[in-house]
Amino acid sequence: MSVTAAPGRTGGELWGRVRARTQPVLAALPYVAPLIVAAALVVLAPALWGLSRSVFNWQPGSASPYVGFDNFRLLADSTTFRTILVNEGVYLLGLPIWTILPLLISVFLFTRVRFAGLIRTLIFLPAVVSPALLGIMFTPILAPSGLVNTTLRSAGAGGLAHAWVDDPSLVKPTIIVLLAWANVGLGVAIFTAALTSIQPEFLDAAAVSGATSWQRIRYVILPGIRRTLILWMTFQALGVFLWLFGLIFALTAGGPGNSSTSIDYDIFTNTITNGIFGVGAAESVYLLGMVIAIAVIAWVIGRQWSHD
Amino acid sequence: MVAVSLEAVSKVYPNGFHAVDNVDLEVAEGEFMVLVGPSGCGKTTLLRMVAGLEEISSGTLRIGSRVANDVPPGRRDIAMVFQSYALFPHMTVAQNIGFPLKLRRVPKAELDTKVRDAAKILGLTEWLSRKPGQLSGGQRQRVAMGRAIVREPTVFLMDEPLSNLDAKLRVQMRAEVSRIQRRLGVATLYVTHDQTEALTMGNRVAVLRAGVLQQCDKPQVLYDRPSNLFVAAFIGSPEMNLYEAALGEGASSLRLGSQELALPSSLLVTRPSLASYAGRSVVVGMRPEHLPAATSDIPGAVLKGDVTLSEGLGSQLLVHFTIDAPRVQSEDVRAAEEEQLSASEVASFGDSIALVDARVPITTGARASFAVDAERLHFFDPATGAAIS
Amino acid sequence: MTEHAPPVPVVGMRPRNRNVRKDLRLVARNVAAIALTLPFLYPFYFLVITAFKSNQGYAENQLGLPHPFVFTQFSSAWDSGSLGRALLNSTIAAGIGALVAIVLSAPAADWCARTRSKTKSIVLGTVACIWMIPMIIWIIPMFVELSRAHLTNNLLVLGFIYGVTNTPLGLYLLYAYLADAVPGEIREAAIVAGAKPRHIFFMISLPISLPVLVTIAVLAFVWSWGDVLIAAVLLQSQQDWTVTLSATSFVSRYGVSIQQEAAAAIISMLPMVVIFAIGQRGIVKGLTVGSGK
Repeated sequence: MSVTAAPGRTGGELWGRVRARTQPVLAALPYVAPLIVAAALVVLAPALWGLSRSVFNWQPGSASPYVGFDNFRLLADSTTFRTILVNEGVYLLGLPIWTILPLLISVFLFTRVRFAGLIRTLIFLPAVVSPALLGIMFTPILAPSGLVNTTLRSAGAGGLAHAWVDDPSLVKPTIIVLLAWANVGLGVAIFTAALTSIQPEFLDAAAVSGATSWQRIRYVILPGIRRTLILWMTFQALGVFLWLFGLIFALTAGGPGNSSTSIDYDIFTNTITNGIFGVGAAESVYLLGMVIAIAVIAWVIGRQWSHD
Repeated sequence: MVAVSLEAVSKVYPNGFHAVDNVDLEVAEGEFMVLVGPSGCGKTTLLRMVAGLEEISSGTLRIGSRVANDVPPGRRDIAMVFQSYALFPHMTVAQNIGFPLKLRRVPKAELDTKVRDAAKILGLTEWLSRKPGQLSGGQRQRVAMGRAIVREPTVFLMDEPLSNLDAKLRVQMRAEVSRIQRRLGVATLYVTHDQTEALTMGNRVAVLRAGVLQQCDKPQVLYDRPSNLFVAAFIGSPEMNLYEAALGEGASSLRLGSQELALPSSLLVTRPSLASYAGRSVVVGMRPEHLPAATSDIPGAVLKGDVTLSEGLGSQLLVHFTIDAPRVQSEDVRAAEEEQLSASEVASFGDSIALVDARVPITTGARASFAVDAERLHFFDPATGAAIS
Repeated sequence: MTEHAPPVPVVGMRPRNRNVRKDLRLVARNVAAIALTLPFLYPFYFLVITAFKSNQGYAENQLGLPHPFVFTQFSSAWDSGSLGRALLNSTIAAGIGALVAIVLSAPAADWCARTRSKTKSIVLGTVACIWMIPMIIWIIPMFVELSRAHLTNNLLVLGFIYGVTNTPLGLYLLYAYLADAVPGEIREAAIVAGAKPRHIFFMISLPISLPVLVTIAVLAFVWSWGDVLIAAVLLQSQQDWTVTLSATSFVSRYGVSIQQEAAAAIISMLPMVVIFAIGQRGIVKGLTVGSGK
């Protein structure tokens, strides 16, 4: 740190300059330190430590010998783990529904509809409910004699009544629809904000040149909200890996069998319920890898799209 | 007694750009000093250095008698009024004004009295319990002034405080600010880009350009004896007409394009240096208000021009005309070294301007004659732009 | 829709028919829009009417309004699920979470809003990690550490962790808001008047950001209330359970009726919905301002 000497400067003024440089850093500390320290203590340090345990036979409270990649191999060979990966893959298939549905609804409400704002607020209600509460809420609704089946029966479509949550082949699609129900409101809010940012002149120009609604969507709206679309889809895709625990925990407990288990639920079962911490840690590494992979893919696609 | 003194003060950025270049300036106690110049000339930077909001790269700043270079703004015994007033929106007018005192833990009774006194001077007494959002622009500006007054500082710093007001209000507030300053007798450093404001309000005016101080003098002196081309062109509205001209032998005549003006020998008495320019080219300046319509056609003392437009101003006519002498834009002089062009310089291309009495018959497209008073001519060195005195 | 005076009829034009068709389409649109909300509201409606029906009442009439209006489902869910105590636990933990989120993020947000130093990106990046790292990855090791320190089953610790988890939200919203509502000039004016950063923080930034602070508190509270992962990991003893955890356990139990499940669902959701509804207007204001104009 250089201090330019100027005629007439006393030592006291030099010290003043030194103080002036370091003081901002010191002054910042009380504002930022609590947050950073808390973040490090609660999230960062535990995460790093936990992930590092994946190469050990981690047994908290007793000896945890080094086992190299055994845990990783165990998971890779495990049929349960493969089932779980398939589950996650199936859940990802919900992406189109989770995107197209709010998109269509927000476009629809964007045109002249009375009380559009009120309707958007009402649709938003489910978004307030957390995943776990969603599971609690829908237990009676999806039960064999719950809302869905009873409505179907009273509408004369009794044949359509199924064990939505107890049938292994139905539980995942049911969850996908449930997630659509829960997230549409948020999606509509976000897409509506994006739609308002499209300059009205583009829509007007399209209307004047005789574009149909579908053409307008394809050529004006979609390009205009591209960035939001990508963000939303990334958010939803990541949600499949980050968000499902509460829902599974409350609604299906992973069942029937393992047909609805998500990765984070499995990690929970392995560690808290069954005490196999090492494998849980390795599974966490896999999970982190998947999350990073999705984020990277999203970023790449995002760059691609905005370069068009 | 000196309130503020700047000694060889500079502000240099890491990329080498000099926002303020070696400025020497003194503001006496009670003096109203205006810093004026085109945008980007460094006047605001200079003000902020005095305030302590920008670091001084080199040079010494003194406030009162003590060196203030490293003293934090809150302890420099200054008060500042910002262009956008910077009032605290969640506080009432009274709380805004009293804020500096509250920070100093001034006891409540004394604080209230001082706030009330300041409000009285500014005519804000009935608005003390309102919030800034409920006030008009002019009132907000006064609250900002109140916050400054209440501190009874050594110097007021004002950063274009009137720029956000509409024209009419600005004229009103100009007088208000001058009145208040005179009443309080506090030294003031006032920044503006408007040369009219500068000339009407300042005891002395400092003209800045690209970080360099051009001239610092009383307004009348700046007007009568600008020390260089830039000051000559910047001060005075409408802008001074500047031409390239050839000074005849013995400085007895001036050739402007195809016309020749006779110069009396008395000119060499008032401007001795002119003699060394005999036979060479000079830049000559004539202010529009010094080009009245010629009453008689005396050769050598009259400038003829082709009228392109005449605008009525009520009692006067603004006559646009052309002559065949090359016009000088003050930036031509230092084009090579200049990094910035000021807006006022780029503005007036083409026409010369004369201000004549409205009763004179002027027809567009015809030739008009303007009387030239040689003593009112300004001469500048074509290479350096310095005034020839 | 503004009504214009009908144009002078020109031969061949039929303005009246055109208006009628347009009106019909508009009506159809409005009806469709209203119909759109039904699937989203119906489940809530079902929950409410079911919870007030006796087992018999439900068997006879699943979809209609409760005929004998009973509270027994609520009381049995309350007792068997220990929901009363759990409600208290949730309130404590979520309340602490909201408080901690604000206390940790507000000063940092003020600092971010006034600084241009390079450290800022480090701070923002660190906080972003809190959000981006899946919770399961850090909560398990956290649990191991806390067990060692005998700090599991501790509502204060739970609340603190909830607070930390919500600091990214708080920081983002408040930083964006302050960057706009307390711009550089206001800070400079305060500095020249003699204010130190702490004066500006307490006397200017905090009072001005009150609506956003409320938003953050409500969002953090709602999020904490609905969490089940952290609660399930850290709370082993049933009497410390949050209501979400208790209700989850309750509805997964064998032999619990639909009506009881509905009652449990309502009990666990109601306080949170109420808090959200109260703070809702402030939330919309806070979120839209924070996201920039």
